[in-house]
Amino acid sequence: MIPFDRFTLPNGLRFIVHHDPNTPILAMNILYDVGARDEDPEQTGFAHLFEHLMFGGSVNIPRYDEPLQLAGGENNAFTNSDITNYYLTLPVQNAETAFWLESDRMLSLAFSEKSLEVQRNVVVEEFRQSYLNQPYGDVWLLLKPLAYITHPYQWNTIGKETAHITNASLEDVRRFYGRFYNPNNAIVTVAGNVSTAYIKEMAEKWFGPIPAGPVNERKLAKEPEQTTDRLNEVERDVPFSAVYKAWHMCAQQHPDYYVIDLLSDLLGSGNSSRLYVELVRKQKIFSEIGAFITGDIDPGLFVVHGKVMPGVDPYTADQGIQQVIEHLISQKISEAELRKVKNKAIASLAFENISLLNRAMNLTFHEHHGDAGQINKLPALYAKISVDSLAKASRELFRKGNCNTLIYKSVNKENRE
Amino acid sequence: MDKLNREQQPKLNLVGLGTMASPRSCRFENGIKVHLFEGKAHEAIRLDLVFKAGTAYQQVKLAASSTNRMLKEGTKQFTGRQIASKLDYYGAYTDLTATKDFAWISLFGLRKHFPKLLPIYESMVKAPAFKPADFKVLNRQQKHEFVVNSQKPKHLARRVFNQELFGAGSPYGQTADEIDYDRLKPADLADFYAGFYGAGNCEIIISGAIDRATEDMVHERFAGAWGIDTQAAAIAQPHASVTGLNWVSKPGALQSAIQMGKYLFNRKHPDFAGFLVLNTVLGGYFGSRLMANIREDKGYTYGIHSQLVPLEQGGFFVIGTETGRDVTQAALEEIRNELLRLIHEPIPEDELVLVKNYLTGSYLRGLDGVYNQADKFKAILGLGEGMEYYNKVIRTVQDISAEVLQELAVRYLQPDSMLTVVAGERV
Repeated sequence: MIPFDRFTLPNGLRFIVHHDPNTPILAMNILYDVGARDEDPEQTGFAHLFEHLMFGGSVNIPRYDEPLQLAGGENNAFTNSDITNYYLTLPVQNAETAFWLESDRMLSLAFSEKSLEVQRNVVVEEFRQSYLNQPYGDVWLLLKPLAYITHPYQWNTIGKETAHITNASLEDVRRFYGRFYNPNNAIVTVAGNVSTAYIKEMAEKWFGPIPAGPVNERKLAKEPEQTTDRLNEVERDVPFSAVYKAWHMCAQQHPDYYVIDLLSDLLGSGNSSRLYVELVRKQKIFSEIGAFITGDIDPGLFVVHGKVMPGVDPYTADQGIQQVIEHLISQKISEAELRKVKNKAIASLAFENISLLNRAMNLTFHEHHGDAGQINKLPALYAKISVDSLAKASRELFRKGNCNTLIYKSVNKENRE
Repeated sequence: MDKLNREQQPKLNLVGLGTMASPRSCRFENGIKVHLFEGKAHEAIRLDLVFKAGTAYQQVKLAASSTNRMLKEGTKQFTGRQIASKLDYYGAYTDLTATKDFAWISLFGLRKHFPKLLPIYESMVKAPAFKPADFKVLNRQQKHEFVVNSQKPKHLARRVFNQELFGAGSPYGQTADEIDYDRLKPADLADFYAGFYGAGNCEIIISGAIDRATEDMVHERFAGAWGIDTQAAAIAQPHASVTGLNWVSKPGALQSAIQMGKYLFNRKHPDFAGFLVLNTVLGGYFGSRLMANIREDKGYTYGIHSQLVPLEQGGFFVIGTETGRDVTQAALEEIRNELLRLIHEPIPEDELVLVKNYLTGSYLRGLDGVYNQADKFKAILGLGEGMEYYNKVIRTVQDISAEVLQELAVRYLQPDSMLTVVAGERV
């Protein structure tokens, strides 16, 4: 059990407090309900660029990092398609510095031309380092637009192209901030050896005076049901060909979400998973293979990815994946195999929540999905999944027409064993 | 009510250091040292066995890391598939790692499943089979991983830096080539295993939800005679003092990877704690001078860091970054400028206070939970000093002066004493 309290300030800012008496550290996690899905299709990568700008100084505090480090703290942030998430840890004695810093950047930013200029460059280097200058680095730049036609998940958090980042102006930045960085569009979780009464006092003092902003009404284009399988083939200078397959799955709030999560473990997580045993160990047509779900709030993707053994045609390798899936659909799943994936999921939850910061993050994410209390219900939720529900979900997921395949062909001529 | 002063940082409170909790340590009858970090609030247990069986001890390239990774691919009692199925069935996982000095075999699982997990783990540790068919699959995977990594500028730069620093044929300096994967045989692994795995060359760390029954189970399985009964002798580790600039050509790379540094020392050296502070100022945290200059002011890179890597024998200092290819030269010059600034000017008092406080906070983060504490302990296992070591380091950190740090910079950070390796396209 992860205990927590909850309260909301009059300006709409939600707080969660998790008391843990066994740590000298305080963790604070702030989620802003804005991600790459909220971007203009002509200005992609903006939510993430904005995350960088949040460290460029706020209205009353010229530098964010220095006072935090002076208080013995450390911080970071990430952006994905759905959210922008900021987190810090510091000695609990200096908790108030966290409130001071975070409330000021929620109040208003410094908006400097210099900071924008520099962070545009930094993000372009990040784009190069993570996507362009890495073998297989552009896979997601190819797979997302293949799978999504209308929904904004068709572009990646980093953006469609570097030009979208270099074109961002200070005016765009101001507008984005005004629209999304408001107390009524955020959730704060504080975890550590602190009382809820103290956190409430701090919250009212520092975040209370910040006015609420406009309510953000999200009207995103819905992705139409995919009815024809799609295929894209590219050639790249990489040592081994690879196959990527993505099927549309349900949204996070759908009851089948955790069923499909188990299904991804059953097919492609660990060396006893079906894909690994059949295609790596037995048939030896892949050197590595795995499956996962993207975990998005709107309907996301179920992904299978594998590196093909040299000398094996990637289309033949792809057929191997399809056979494993056909077998899954046509044969009854054993209770023992179901037990295995459940045990694994439940143990992972325990491992994951060992870290204080992870607990703070997970509480925030569940609150954002609807209820922080979900964090304590997950083991029971996994436990009651049946063989039949798994079978039904896999038939729907792997129906004909729902699949997107990316064949990533190696043009490397060397003949490797 | 007072008007809120948002310009003024709330008063900072003195952060008490507490003390790093020491593990409960004992010895099994066969001489194995066992260290226990108990955390009652948890459901999980981590069991680490560590052997002096890192890559420095191998006669055949890749033998140490492949021996380590083969342990879960099949034993005299279980096939690789059975091991994977059983670990997965109980929701556990293993982590197999070989560093230059050590080989680790870690098991992470829920306490309630430990009675079922230990027999498998014991079999992995004591009775690996090294079957040719299993070896072939794993070896090919590792080779593929290597080939993919070899396309990354960062990997290329690190490899050459390591070779140059220690000497290509030396225990610490050796690096594998693609052909070494083709040459490696299961018998090499069996030989390496026979020479380095056993009660005499092992220590055990258990952390998490330990109870009496768990302790007894571990004792029952590992306290007898098994494997080699002597500790691996230290191997002489030469190092070169090469300097200058070494370009590794990677045509078409959008970014160049830079590795710059020199041979230095490990935690046993009297200047280690002082150098830790100096390194933090230079490139050891987000607000470091290298980050402030090269990322936050110039935008040349997504990140730049420096660190002192302590090894069992000696250690090395390295600055690492990836920069746009057009600004690589400019970045190298800025790195040089930052080194010279530390040599020529004392660190201003406010910056020094900030870094000391930051390091104190990091130290406290290391106290957060038994797994973090066990990790801190694992990092200093070879020292044999226990957790008191960290208390000593942090006291030195808090007391050190700007003058002493400048002396350290003069002694250790001369740009011309460093080796620079750049992998990328030269423009």
